[in-house]
Amino acid sequence: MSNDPNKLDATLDAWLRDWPAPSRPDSTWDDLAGRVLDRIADTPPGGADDAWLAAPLPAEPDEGRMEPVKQGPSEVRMSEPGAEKKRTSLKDIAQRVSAAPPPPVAPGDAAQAPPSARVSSPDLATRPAFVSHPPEARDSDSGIVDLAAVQASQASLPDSGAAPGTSSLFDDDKDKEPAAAAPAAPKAAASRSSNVIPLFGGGVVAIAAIAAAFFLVMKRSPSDVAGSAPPAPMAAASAVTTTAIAETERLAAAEAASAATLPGAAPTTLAMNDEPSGTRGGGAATETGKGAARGEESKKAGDKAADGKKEPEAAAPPTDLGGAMATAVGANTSQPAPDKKDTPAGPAPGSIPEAPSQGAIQGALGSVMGAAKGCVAGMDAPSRATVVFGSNGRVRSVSVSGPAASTGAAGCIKAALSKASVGPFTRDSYSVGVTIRP
Amino acid sequence: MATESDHDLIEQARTGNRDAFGVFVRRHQRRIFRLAVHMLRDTAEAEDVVQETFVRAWQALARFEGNSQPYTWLYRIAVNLSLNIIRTRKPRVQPADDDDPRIEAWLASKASTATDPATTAEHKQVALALAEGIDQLSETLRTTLILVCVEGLPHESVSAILGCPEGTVAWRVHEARRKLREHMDGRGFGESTEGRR
Repeated sequence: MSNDPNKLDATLDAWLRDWPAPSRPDSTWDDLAGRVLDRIADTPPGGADDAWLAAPLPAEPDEGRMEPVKQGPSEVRMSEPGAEKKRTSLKDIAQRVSAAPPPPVAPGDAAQAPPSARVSSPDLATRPAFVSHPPEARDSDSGIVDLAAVQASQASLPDSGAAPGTSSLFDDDKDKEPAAAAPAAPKAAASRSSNVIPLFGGGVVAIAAIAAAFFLVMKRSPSDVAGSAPPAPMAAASAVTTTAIAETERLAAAEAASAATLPGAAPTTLAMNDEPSGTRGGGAATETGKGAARGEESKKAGDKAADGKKEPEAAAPPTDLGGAMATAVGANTSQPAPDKKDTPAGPAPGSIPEAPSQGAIQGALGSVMGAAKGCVAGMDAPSRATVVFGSNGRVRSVSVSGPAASTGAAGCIKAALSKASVGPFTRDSYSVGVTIRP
Repeated sequence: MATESDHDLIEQARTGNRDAFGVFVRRHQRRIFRLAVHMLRDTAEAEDVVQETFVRAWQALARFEGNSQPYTWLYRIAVNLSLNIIRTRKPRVQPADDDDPRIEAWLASKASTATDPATTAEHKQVALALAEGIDQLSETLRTTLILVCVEGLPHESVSAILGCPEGTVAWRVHEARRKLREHMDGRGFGESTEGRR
């Protein structure tokens, strides 16, 4: 239909302009005026409710982005309703974020956290301890394996006799390891002084230690890592070049085991952790003679070193890297659960929660939302209300924004939402934003 | 006293002169009644609104600052009272019909030009379509359209009544006209409307 809008508008204007009111006789108007005067006869001027003098209508939803119909400064203000709506939304988001209860953090958790848990992220650093993790995972629930603990457990493996990795896997571990190895050093020194001095003296012990270290380095060469087990005669020959007696060999092994906990005592053996478990097991199976005895000594020395760390190890450590990894991720069911005293204490059953649950809030507001919607019936745009619950669960205050704020519907909304109630909670107050759609 | 301005009457009423306020009531009660009828579609409720409007205006005389015309003050009170009645009563689902006082008033005004039943029926169809179109407008657009197009108030006065900028009033009238025009087009009162008058 291609009608001229201007012509139609003119016609509509004429119709509306000429639309009369129902006619009334003059006596009716006199009666009406008389009733008004009778009512005000005993009423002094003043005392009216300001609500009847307020701006009566809410803004139209499209007024914020309407095309300028009439040029003037008023158009600048027409975009305010939309902007106001955005600010309200951000405010609500901020209120909801601030209203969320923070995770309970026991005092000193961050300071007592293991090195693997001391991360740069503040929320991870302050995260409470978790319960069912192996010692490698320590008290952290972040899933990060404490490789230092894995190394310590590896030190006690009865494998090919090779010294466990002693270098730090990460640079920031270097300054932590001396403290862990320090308790083991006096024990090794005591053993050395009681056995070696009567026989060869300190110089021989030093030579034996250097020889053992050289032997171990040769054993951990890349060719060994590739899968070939170290031949036992080679170890024996190396031992013979230094001293011929078995006791010296045992002492050398003990020295090497104790040196495994010292920083920089042996070359980096990072590849050891990548070595397949089958290879290592095969190497242990082919170990014979002095090599096996050296493995026993190494295990004892590793135990001593582990004792120095005061690590709780109730179960036998895994015998290969796969087992260590399984233990690290918690797959080892034989591992005892850590002390439950480390876990954060949740609210005791029956105690008052810190904040009302979402279900309680939705239930409380849902019961009064029907009445609130009735207040904005006929409006086109939704209104917003912020309900503040007191700690007793009752509504402390209600603030209305949006189209209904400037009308009489605001009081109606406040009265309706004030009837909501939730269970008591410990916080001083709890704010909830509500959208009331007509 | 009948020739005094509204401002003078209000000033006298502030001092307790009820006769001056009576003149003010008789001067403006018809326009308030017309507004209320178009908003409420009920003459009895419209009379109640007229009465309440002047009573509350009397009670609020001290707050009238005199910056605008006193009748705009009356319109604002009347609009608030009418909207309050609309919001508290059950929504009316039935369309405009013969009992609608607006239709009665329309037909009464056209009675002199309706020379035959066909013309009378045509007038009635126009009035029904027009009333239906107005009723389908939102509360805001409908009220603004009534104040501007039915009551014939200037945008400046409507701006003072509704508490919004004049540009907003103009946009609302433009939007209401557009929707009303679309409605009348859909009802077949578009191209030959002039001939139907």
